Amino acid sequence: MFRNYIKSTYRYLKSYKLFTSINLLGLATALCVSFFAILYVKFETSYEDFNANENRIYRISTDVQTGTGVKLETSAAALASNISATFPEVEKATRIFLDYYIVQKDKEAASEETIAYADPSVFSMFSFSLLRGAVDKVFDAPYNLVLSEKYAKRYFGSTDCIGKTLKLDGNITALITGVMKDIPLNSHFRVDMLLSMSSLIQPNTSWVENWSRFGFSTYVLLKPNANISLFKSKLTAFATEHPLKNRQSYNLVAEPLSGLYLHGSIRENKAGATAHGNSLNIYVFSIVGIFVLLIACFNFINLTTAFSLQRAREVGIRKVVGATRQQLIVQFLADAVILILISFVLAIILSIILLPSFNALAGKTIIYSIQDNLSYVLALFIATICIGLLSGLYPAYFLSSFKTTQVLKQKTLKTSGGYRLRKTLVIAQFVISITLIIATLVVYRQLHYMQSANLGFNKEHNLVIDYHYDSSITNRPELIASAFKKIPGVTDVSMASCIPGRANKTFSTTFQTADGSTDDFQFDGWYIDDNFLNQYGIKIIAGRGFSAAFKSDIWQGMIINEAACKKLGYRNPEEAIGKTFSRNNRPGTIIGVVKDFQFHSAHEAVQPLTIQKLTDFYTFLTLTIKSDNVINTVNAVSKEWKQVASELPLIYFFSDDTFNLQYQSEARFSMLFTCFAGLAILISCLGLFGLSFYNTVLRKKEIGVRKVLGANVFNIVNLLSVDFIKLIVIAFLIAAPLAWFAMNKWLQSFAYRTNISWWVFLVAGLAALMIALMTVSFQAIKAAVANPVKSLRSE
Amino acid sequence: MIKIKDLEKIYRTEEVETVALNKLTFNVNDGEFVAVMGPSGCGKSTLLNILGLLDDPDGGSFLFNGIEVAHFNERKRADLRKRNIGFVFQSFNLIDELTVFENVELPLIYLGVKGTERKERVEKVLDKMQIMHRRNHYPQQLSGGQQQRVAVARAVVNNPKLILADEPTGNLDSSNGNEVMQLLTELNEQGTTIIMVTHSEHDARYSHRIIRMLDGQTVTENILV
Repeated sequence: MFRNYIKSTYRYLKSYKLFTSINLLGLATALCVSFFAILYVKFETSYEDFNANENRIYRISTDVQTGTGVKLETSAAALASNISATFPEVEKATRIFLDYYIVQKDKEAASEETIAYADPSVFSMFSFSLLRGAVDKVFDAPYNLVLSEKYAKRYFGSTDCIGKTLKLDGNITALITGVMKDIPLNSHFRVDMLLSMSSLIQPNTSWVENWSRFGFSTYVLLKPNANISLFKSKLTAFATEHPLKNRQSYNLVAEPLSGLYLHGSIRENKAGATAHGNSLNIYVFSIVGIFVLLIACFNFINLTTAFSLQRAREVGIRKVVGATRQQLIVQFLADAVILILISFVLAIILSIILLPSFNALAGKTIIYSIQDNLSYVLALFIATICIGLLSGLYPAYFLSSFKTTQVLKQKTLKTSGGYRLRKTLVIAQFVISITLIIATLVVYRQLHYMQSANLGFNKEHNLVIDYHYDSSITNRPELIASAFKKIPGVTDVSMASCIPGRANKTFSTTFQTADGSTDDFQFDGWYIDDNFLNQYGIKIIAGRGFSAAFKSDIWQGMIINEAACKKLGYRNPEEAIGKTFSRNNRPGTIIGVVKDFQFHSAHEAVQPLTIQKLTDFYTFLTLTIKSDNVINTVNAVSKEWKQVASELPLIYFFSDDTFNLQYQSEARFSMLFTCFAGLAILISCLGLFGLSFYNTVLRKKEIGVRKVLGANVFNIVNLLSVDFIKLIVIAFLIAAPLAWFAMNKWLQSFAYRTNISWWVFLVAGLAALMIALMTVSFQAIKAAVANPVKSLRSE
Repeated sequence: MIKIKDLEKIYRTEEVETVALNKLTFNVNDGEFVAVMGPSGCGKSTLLNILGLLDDPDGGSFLFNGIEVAHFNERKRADLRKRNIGFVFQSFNLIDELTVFENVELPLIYLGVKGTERKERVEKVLDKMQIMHRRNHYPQQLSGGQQQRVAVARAVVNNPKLILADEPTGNLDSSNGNEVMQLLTELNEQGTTIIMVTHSEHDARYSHRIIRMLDGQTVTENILV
């Protein structure tokens, strides 16, 4: 019996090629999208699950209470050892500190790499395993380096590289003492190089007792039976017993490792923050995955019920020769399952082909290969069969309910059966599609807004070299500046500790406030030279910028931004000028106020910023270059670089790229939305195409009669399209408020955001309407220009 | 074999009520060949549908082999139908997606007959209908006469006691029509009861008895044999 089902299904699918291809294309695409969505959601929620002690590990960070609110910081160097000594429930504590170096094996090739300084206990805290080297020996001395397996192979061709060396920043020799297995993809910090913590501490011994020098990520492993809420409350008490030197107070917070990636707070140091995900993305992915699958299932239901009328006679015959209704239901369910199983196979092939693009779109390697995830393939397989059965159920009941006596009389059955359902499903499909189009437009507009809004500084044409505090530059800034200024394509040169879009340090500073009293503030801090503000076009609105004419500008001068001015309580920028401050026990006065500029992402409002002049802290050399002949200019810069810093390889980037990098996740988000919206509308239109085809067949005689009576092509196209247009209009009316609500909520997460203009809705509605109209009218025009004699005769 | 008494069937729409069968009464004996004639709309097809257990009557009694079947549910009707009744239609009603062999095999599949036995029985009946050489063809590849022979083969493959034929020659030319009538006659001679609805006096003459209907009632009965 089953063989018979399969055979007749196969022939049925073969003889209704349009129906089959629309369904296969739609279902395969939708299954592929859902598969990727499942993989993405699984990956995003799997962070840290490779750690054997995942549930006992907590990251301890610092919330610094300032006069202006809470500043989220990492932790100080002293925390780990103090916590271990104080808390009996803490089994061990470890620290990492993210940084980056220019790494070279030889003179030729250099690359900038993120590294982590780490304590030896990092290997027992996290489930990182050493392939070469002994845990208690690998970090015996400063600049002992543990490489990942991948990097060992990259630099030395094998993991057999203990005792070999790599150059860091052109002048430090790091000795390879160990090789570890690659840190899993789903770790919240992933580096391929771990440097001994002593490499950082030894040149900065003062940091050990400095409770306000942040940048360390401190992790503790609690004993198995530890009471976490008690531990947290004891942490608060501990924080009050270990106050900062000044009057700032702070709180220590323990965040569970398992939730760190999705729900942990973002705490940066100079090298950026550890990886953090976005739970909104997970919801969006899940919902959109389900939506796309729903659209394809609706197509299946719609097309099956519509085309089923062509099968009515077959149902009749089968009933006449003895089929029961149950047998027919089973047969039609088998049809559905077989069709969806073919789609499943296509979806898997599609997934294998598209995996690299998907990883690129996600911005990270979600999986290396589909074959390695067979359990998910199996899960998808089972889900696919369930979807097939669910989508097949209504058509099966509908088909098997045909009355034999009626269906045997006519070749096709004219019935309104399923008509209302079909309309509802088409509306649902287009509600989803239009919502996604609107969402895409809003995401794109916000992205464009963030990247091109008036940022308060010039980000174009700035070539930036991060020289890693190299002494050959730091020791002779004026000489370097004049050397580069001589290059014909270079118009301006400056040096600074930071540029817009990069993470910066924060500093505790005591300020004289508006009422004359003093208070402590933890503000972002930059160090710049005399020319920086001018070069980046940052406007001074009170006082003056740094100048070589004022020797006291070094250490003792400070420029603040408007946001800092407001936080300090000054009524206007002029009032700030001449007010005193003290940082690291060095007093000084505020000499200028700059207009707020967007030095971080538009997600947050412009933060208070303090700017000082100190050559030792500079690491970014910015060269403003002319937009013509960029290649020649870069070549000349490269040549000059070899002269001035022969040891350090030239690694440069453009300041607008680094600024836009902050919006990488939004850029990906908008790319994904575009893909999803495109697919949703494509699959919806496939269904509409099938339905309009069917509708046209059904009304062939009517069209013939109307033409004989004088209807022209326009009348016929209008007749056949108007019903579908009504559905799109209804869908638009439902989708518009839904999309507005969702996107308005999404925009709330940005401090600076675009508004949702009315034309976004208009464009989305018109786009959906146009696409639908083109789809429908293709069939309608074909029917309208056909010879009516044919259709009337065939009836 | 068939005893119907006061059989009624009324079609209702919102505004119109059409009496298709109006207290119809007649019997058909085992082994009989009966032709039902009458103008369009007289109730012939409705009668055939009820006799074939494809439709149920609104009133009256219908005894099939002594069992009252007028109020059988769908499942019981389907079961009785597949074991006892074969159908031949004017438009052949073959499934386009199945081959000749598979079309004829279909009733046996629904009867649950095993594969090897099915093959044997289908080949036998195809042989008998002289279309064995067309067994792997699809209906569209056959002439009308050949298609009707396949339909007859399908109707008889499960050895039904009764064959209901609805204008079996209506779509055929006269020579193919005669062939089909010859086939039905042979089946009847081998013991199968046949009830045939027809407009053709020529075809009706192959039967033993002609029942003439008008407005849902029997008007005359002519016994030919």
